[in-house]
Amino acid sequence: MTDLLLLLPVLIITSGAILLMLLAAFENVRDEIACFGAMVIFLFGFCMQLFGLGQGDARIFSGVFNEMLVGNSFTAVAGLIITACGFFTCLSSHTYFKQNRFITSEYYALTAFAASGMMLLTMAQELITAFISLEIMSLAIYVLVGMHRRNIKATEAVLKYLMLGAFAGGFFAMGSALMYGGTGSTKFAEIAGFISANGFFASSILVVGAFFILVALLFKIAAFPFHAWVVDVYDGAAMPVTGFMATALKTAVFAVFANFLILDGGLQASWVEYLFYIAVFTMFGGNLIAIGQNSLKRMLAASGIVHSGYLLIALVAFTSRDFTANVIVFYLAAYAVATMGMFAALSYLSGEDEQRITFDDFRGLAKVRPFSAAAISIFLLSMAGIPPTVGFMGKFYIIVNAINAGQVLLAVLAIVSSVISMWYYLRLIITMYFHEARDDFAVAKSPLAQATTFFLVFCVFALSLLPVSV
Amino acid sequence: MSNELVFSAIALLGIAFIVPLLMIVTGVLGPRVGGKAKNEAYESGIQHVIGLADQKFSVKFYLVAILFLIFDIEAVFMYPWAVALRELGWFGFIEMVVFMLLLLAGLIYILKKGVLNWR
Repeated sequence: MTDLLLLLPVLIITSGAILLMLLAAFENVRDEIACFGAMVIFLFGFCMQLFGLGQGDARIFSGVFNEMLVGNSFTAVAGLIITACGFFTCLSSHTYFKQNRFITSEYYALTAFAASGMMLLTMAQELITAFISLEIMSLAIYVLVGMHRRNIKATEAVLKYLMLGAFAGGFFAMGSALMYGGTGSTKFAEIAGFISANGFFASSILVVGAFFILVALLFKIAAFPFHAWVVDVYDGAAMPVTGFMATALKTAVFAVFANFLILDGGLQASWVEYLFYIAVFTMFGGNLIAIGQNSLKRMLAASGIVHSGYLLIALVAFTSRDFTANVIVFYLAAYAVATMGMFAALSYLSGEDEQRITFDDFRGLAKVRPFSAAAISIFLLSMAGIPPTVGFMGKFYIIVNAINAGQVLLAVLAIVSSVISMWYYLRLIITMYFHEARDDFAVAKSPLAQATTFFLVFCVFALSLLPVSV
Repeated sequence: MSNELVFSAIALLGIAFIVPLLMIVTGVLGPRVGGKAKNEAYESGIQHVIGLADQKFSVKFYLVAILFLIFDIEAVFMYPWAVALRELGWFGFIEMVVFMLLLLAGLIYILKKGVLNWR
């Protein structure tokens, strides 16, 4: 019974996605119905996912699935973040597509398909399952990025993402094959067991395979040497899609990354040296890119790279399995709330065909729309890590975790990086508050994106009160 | 560093040099035969490729090819399933029914979308 409850959210989202797809086949069905259908599905999935909280490892239907899937509190919280992100994406899409008319009803089906792949990915405990769910997620996301077929920027984005993403998928498949060759198993736990018994360098196939998988995962989270695609892809995708990618996709990939590394000390210990440098370069490289950007979307994309760097710190600084997992998932939630809110706000503020997109376009927003400007400021402060927001608590736990693990240098560098990141977050606040308005900031008639924004402002403060058990 | 690692690194470097070298050598040594038909781009039966790379053209062939692939793979899956059906029992049967129903949903979708109408 517990098994079914743990698997139910995935089943709901998947069957909901298929229903939405069939619904989209009928031409007389309006997009709005698909939108509300998707909201109901995501909300239902979210509620079902709540049952998974507070549980230890449960191998879901171990007889049938051969222990491929594991449900525990970590996967449940990741699932909650993903379904919530899907729900808020549908809400902000409703408003966004009032002014950007390139929607087809398949959009919502694809969002649900992507979410189902992500949820499977968080539960995957085995390389082939992880690969398949990674591809379910990626294929749906590729289509979502290229949804605006007549737009040359979206076409460029989808081409870049598809090419590079396909290579990353290939790397993952090759790495899985090599790891199987090296260790005789595709299960994370058995691979880790092999490494702690024989050492990482016992088998050269294993080293190469682990390197390939590391490349694929680092690509998906946009970490340092593989971060170049993220700015262009986020820039070309539609606003709600960018928000969905930035939050839900990152949550899913970090969950599988954490599962893969932390399940047993074996794998993590052999990679920790390299991950240290990758984390540092990701933080500072992301900051350097973000400082130079003039478009808000590109700035947020680059700041996503920086946040990947902070999350990598948690992977490097491994204290205890539970605490590190909690820290990662808390930071993912903190980042998701602020980023989702930011993109929901931009969904209704960017106007027709995303005409307001640069820093200058938002001059004097506070004079015309004081509440929206205040909400955006709160999200930015949360991303920068100012108390009493959830972003501060997330960074706080990351740094506590790093110091507990003895990585004091990394903790200091994280603080330096977050001070640097103030530059581009505060720049937008200054633009909004200390300039005269030249625009009337007309928005679409649907109030859903506004509602999302203000609800997420509440979440920024509410989530910061959640305790993380040590 | 084990010997195997050193060997694989050398092999990798060797490939990284030999493959580009071979491509350059064939370019230099190989005979050059020109001609209109040879220099024309081959684009799966579409003649006279002109214009920019992002221009629109008919996707009918690609759609049919992809749909064929999907249902072909379905048939491929059924062979090992049929061989192992006795051992799998009812569980295997239900699994296959679920798989077929998912593909049926896809078939309904493409039929409704008119993908199979050759306009």
